[in-house]
Amino acid sequence: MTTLDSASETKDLHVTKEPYQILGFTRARLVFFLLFVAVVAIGPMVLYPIFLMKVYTFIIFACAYNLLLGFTGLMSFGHAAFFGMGAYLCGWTAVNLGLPPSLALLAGTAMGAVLGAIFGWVAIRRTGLYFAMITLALSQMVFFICLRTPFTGGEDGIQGVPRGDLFGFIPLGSDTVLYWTIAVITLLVVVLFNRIIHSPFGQVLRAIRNNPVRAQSLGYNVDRFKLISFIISAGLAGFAGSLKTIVFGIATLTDVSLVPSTEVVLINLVGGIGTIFGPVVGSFIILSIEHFLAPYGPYIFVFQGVVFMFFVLIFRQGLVGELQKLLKKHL
Amino acid sequence: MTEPILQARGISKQFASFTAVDDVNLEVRSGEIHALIGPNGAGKTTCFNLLTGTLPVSKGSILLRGKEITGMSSDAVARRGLVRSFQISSIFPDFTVLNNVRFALQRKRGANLDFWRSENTLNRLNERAQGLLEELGLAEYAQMRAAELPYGRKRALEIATTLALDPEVLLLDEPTSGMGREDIGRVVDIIRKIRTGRTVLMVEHNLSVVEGLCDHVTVLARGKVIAEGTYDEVAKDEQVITAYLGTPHA
Repeated sequence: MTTLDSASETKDLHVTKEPYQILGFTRARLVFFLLFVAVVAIGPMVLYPIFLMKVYTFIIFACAYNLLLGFTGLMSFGHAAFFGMGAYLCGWTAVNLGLPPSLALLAGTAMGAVLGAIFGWVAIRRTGLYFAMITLALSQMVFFICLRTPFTGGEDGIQGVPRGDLFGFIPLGSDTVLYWTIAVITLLVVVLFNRIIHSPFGQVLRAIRNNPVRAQSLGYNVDRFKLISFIISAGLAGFAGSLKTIVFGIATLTDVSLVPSTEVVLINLVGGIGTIFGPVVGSFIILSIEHFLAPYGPYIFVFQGVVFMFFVLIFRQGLVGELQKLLKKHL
Repeated sequence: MTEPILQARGISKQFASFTAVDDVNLEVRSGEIHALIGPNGAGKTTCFNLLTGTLPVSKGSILLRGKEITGMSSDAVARRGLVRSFQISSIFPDFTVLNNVRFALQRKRGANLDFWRSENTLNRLNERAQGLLEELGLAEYAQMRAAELPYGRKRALEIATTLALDPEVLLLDEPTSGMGREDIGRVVDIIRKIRTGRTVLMVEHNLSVVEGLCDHVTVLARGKVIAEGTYDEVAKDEQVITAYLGTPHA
């Protein structure tokens, strides 16, 4: 033990050295985060703010998804259920109960989490493809229920959701105020996401992704950790869906369909599964494709298909993942 | 020294119509190094899987310190002080060597649900983890990605991780499998070093390892116990010689 003490002083062993961190970000990540802040600040001068806000809600959604796929090792094909049901409940409570946006957002988030607990409870004992298929089946059931129950407004969806005043004093009716509110929330979510991944809890999740059998043999209740991760992910997805409702004033069947479920996979694949900033970069790219190629109608899907194959075949780690390898730093 | 710490009473495991483990009784006495040997397919690893709750038993019961642990999940068994290593090195490849060991130490913190705290709070475990690495000759590799370790060192890392839980009973599944002679020597030294205050049950293929190391040997063949005793006793046993060499007049 004496040799250890002297050794740590000569800093040959990086044992007691605390890494330099701000907001829980390492230096490389902080650079990335500040770049993102700059984009958020300059963005509305160059691009349509509503488009940017859509990107931000998808960043939150994609972070939620990456927590599960990239850091717990669980592949879900049913995340639209949480996103869409969050969107619906947020809209429904705002319209029918007259809830202020803060409470409507809370309702949508809780919806995602509760639904996540149910999905998780059913699916968590299976792994790999079986897990993915169970989540897919359950989300299709949710879609069908939404199609047939009056509360969603069927094909019309829930329209005219009032933006209201956040916490009673932030008037979201103004596009500028709304933009900055959503932007700050998104930045906070990215900070929170990084914190969760690099917490003792996140350490357990990453170990489970690495080697679930070994984690269990060391005494960790793997199923329980997976379930908690699933619930957090679903709650955050519900929150993203709720924010989307506030921004656009509508919740529709599209939100709960297969579309967001596949988009979120594509976003993470392009950005980088298992990276902190993959969801950010991926959301910008995928939603830009949709936005700027919108005039070409269905050809978007062809283009997205090509992008998907390109990344699967050549850029397996996604953009941020490849950059990570190049810089030899975790991003 | 003599009361059994781990006991298996008539445990069996049936896979469809195949009986992998058939009515096995096992008594591992506290403080001993106990070997489970036998030819390929004798059911040694299945036995391990049953003892640690990795697989449920079809019949029989398992007692740890006289208390029933039959039917418990493998994580619950581990928390009660019975911890295993695997035949194929089971590590966390993306973690650093140090963090592999630290992850085991982390479990003693309790629930580990604190997602709001920085993982730097785990740094206070680094010193203990480093100590364990030193004990197993891995200190210089501490900051290396575990996947990059040479094979023999991965085994050592797995043992270090297992030891980090400070288990009362250590189950080692073929700790020397696939190793060269030099690495085997090191693992045997490690086992000698760590036995103090612990009980070790190990599956072993290499009889020369068993000979010098183990106090007690149980021989399995086709799922059944065919002999028990010290190494010298079982080595003379007719049935054992037959099981290993195939013919009675070898």
